[in-house]
Amino acid sequence: MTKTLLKVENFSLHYQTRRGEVSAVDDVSFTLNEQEALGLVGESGCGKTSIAISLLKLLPDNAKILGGHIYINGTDIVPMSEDEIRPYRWRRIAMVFQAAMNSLNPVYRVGDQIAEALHTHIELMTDAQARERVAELFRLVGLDPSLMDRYPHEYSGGMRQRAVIALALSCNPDIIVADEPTTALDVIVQDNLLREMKNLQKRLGTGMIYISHDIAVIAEVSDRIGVMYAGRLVELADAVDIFERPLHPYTFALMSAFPSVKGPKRPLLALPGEPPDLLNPPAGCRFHPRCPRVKDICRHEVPAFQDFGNGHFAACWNPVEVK
Amino acid sequence: MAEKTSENPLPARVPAGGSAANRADAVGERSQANQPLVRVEGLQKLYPVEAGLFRRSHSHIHAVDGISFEIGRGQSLGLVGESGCGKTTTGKLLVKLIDPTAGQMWLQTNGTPVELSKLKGREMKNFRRKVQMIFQDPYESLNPRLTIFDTVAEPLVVQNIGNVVEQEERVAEMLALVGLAPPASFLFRFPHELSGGQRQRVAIARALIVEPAFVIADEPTSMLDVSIRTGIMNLMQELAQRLSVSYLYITHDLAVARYMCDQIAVMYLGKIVELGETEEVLQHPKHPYTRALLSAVPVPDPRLKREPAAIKGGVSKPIDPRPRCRFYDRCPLAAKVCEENDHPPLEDKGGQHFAACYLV
Repeated sequence: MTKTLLKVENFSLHYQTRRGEVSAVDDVSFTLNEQEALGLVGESGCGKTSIAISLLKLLPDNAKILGGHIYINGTDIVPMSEDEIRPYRWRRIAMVFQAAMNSLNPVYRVGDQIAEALHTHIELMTDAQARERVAELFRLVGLDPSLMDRYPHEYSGGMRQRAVIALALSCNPDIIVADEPTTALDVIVQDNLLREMKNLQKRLGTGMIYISHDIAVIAEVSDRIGVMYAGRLVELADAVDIFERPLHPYTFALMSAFPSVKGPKRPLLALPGEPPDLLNPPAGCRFHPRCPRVKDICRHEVPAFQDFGNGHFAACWNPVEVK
Repeated sequence: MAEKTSENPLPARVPAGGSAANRADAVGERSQANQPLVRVEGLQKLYPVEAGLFRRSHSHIHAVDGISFEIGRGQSLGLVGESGCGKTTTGKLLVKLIDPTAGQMWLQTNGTPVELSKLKGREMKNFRRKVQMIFQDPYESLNPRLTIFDTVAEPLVVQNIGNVVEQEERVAEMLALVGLAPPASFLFRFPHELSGGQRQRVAIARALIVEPAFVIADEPTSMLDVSIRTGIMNLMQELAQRLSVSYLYITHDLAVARYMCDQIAVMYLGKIVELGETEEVLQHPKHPYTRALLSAVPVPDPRLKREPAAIKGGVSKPIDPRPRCRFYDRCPLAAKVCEENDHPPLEDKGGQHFAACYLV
């Protein structure tokens, strides 16, 4: 029986803005098992980053958790105070942010920044021990340990992202959340980094949550894939299964719209319309205004997120039939 | 130091039925049907590296270094490569936002090719009408203080086309064409009221309203979400056919180039290293850089496993490059011939498939 590292249950989150309440995450549930890589894919504003920062409770002041639970190794972090959550951050669950440039302080040496994280989160570590650990982490992510005493501006984009991964790995977390880890990088650098992260994850047995708008990147690194739309998780299944048998019309549309350099050239199908305004999300299924398979019930009732067999979950009243 | 253009033979890209263009041909000798809309020869742009206040700079960044290509009427050429390879600089040179250090560019207007450096006065104004640009970021390329009507009508006003009533009709027609319907509900809105996809549609409408022959699109879809992006790509293709516009499509994404372009040119550090029909280049890449680039593109299918890209290190800056193959440092095949000779010329390796490599 595999151990469940993370369990998110019926999690909902609002942001309070001057214009009203934005329903950013609505009733999302999923689990992450040990040694598993879960990919969350969706377009901008679908709630994927909100979920990521909720997992570390790094929420901005205007965020309001409406309900639900986030269990890390069986303990619910939702009701925890700032002091109670601190031991979990970095030691249990760490995060690799989208903009590597902004996650490193430009006026400190890269090695010192990682050593600082070690000193903060792991007590009783001497400076020499910390430096040794940093060197070890640098080797782990494919950076030359001699780069430890350099400043972030002396690093290339790919090197900075590696340093941020070293930072995330510093306290041996059980789970790493990577939010668009390769988005600003060129394809060749991206490819190297994704391979490296995948190898590390398999070797260290870390649970991994990848978040990206790029379905191709998610397909490369994930064991299971969750598709988000307008704050809801609409489909969740094994990576191969979701590509062979997409059930939700949005997943299907996303895949039909994505160009590939490999395989036969097929026409790309555009999805009409735009994602909804989450200040005032549509009733029923949030995808119904754009859905080609819409039925009457979709406009009024929220479809349940249910298992269609073999752990293939989808929230749809009229799922795509696969020939 | 600057590479002579004669070392870079013109890659002859001729519309179907034409014979290979010979650079010795006097331009006038060719029949009109065979003439490409855009012809670029030995185009070069060097940027001086500032050495300090009052000091002359002695080194240069070779942003674009002796590239040649042609684009036929109604054809699209995709310029692909990593950041810093010179693709955006090429785009800026072609719209004359910046002037080249060396090389020539011809645009065919009214049947005769005109060299762009010689343009003045009315000819220049005509050029500005014939060549339009679509930028990457629709949040920054639209003036936030102008209504959609003013934005789209601006090129007509500048070019003195039609009176106000006609302009209004034309704008409404154009908005409908780019899928902003009904036009009346968009005319007097401001950019901040529109989504990214809608803004990019406005930018396309503005570019196409003066009926250009040639449009340079610099990463027009890379800021957009997948479900929106496909709509914009399909729209650009449809309009290109309908209005017989040629595109220079600048992108870092080979998969996007595959869907948008008849031909692909792969750039590396200011040089075109491979050029040919899109499917031919993607199915049978010849240059080791193209091969590495292709094998690094993630594929949206978890069942396909890719081999790691055969390439070393990262992109450097082309500051006073040594006279050898630009790709030498990163090439898995690098041999003596690549180091001892200048950058290889772009040669036809069979079937109008050009590559700049001594080893293929």
